[in-house]
Amino acid sequence: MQAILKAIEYYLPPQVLNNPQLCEIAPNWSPQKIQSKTGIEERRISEEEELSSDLAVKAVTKLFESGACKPEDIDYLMLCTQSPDYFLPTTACLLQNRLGLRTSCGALDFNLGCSGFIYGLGMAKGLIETGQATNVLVVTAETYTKFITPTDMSVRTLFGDASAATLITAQDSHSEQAPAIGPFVYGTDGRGAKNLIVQTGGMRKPVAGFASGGGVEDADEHVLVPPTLYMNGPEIFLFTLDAVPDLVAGICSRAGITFDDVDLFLFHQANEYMLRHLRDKIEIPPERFYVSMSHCGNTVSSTIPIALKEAYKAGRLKIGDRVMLVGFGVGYSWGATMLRWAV
Amino acid sequence: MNAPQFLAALHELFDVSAGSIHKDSVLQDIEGWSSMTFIGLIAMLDEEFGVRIPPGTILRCHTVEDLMDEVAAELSPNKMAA
Repeated sequence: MQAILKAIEYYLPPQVLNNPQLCEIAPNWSPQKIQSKTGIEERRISEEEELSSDLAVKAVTKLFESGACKPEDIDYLMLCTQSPDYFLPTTACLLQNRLGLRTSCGALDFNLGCSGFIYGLGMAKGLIETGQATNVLVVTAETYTKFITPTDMSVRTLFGDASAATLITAQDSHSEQAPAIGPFVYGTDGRGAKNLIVQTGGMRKPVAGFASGGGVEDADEHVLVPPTLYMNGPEIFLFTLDAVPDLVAGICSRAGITFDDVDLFLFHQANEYMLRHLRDKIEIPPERFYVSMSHCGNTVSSTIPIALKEAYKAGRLKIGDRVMLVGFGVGYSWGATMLRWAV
Repeated sequence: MNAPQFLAALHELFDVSAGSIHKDSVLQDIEGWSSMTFIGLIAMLDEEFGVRIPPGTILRCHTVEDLMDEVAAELSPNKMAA
């Protein structure tokens, strides 16, 4: 048996935040400047009462409605999120119930950001190819915008909320072909933790420990209450310059391929300016480097499945195509794999 | 790397008219300095000069010339061999 990617659906919340709206908050910016520096025209923002779990239910329901699978087919559900409903229970357990999955279904959450989809594929492949599961739902869902201060343009311009649901399923393997998913390369460097972080709300700095009412900042003017996303963009950018070229070389080496063997390169959609720079630095042919984020922004762990779905809809993927998937970001955490398109 | 080449790259990055940035210009006072042009500066130094200067080092540079010195130090034979 081998694991194949059988279907992807994604869901974006309806509320739009576009560049002209952002410029009303920050008058020294222009819509054209935001567009040219980020490649993003609009982001989708979850409503106050709309959580990652709600976005996930919508994405998975679309997958069921597409006919790709039925609730009773699913025997393992994994949810990648950094904005869960609760500390406990596991949000994936809530989803099992809301989605009507059978009680013999395994379910777990895992906490990763921009590298999460790659790690999800790796775990799903492991579960299927060791005979532990047959139909694995890899769900990515994030509501980073709930962590964002309205006036912090360095992150508000980039991040949007979304969920993607990907079905990984077991199929008879044909040994003459390269694996449908894999090999994998992973990496971690916790020294970068401080550069993309929500400092408060966990056990290290529980929000209850701070005086209530109004915001609270630390000595570096990082907002502590409410729990707020801090990103050091220049440090993150420097990290990608260090890590991503090696990551791409690493996956080529492990797969025994050259760039000529790759039909489409699909990186985590962080921001288009950065992606273009990485593309040129690594010398990836532009016509095989796919970008799709102008309609939703950086949706963290959902960017890769969203862009895969958009590439498929745009006719950029056909059966048998080999796609390089590369994720990198918060942690720092990174990973890459090769996917043979099977839909 | 020479000064005219470095200044030309800065003019292009900040999209300002020729002659508006000098060696003694204060880096963070350049018109258009923002979190985004800061990232653009790191990208430009990597692309044009093949050096990766940490953001903290850039922030410690007061003038354009200070930054040029950092790039030159990074490009020096001793550093390259290290």
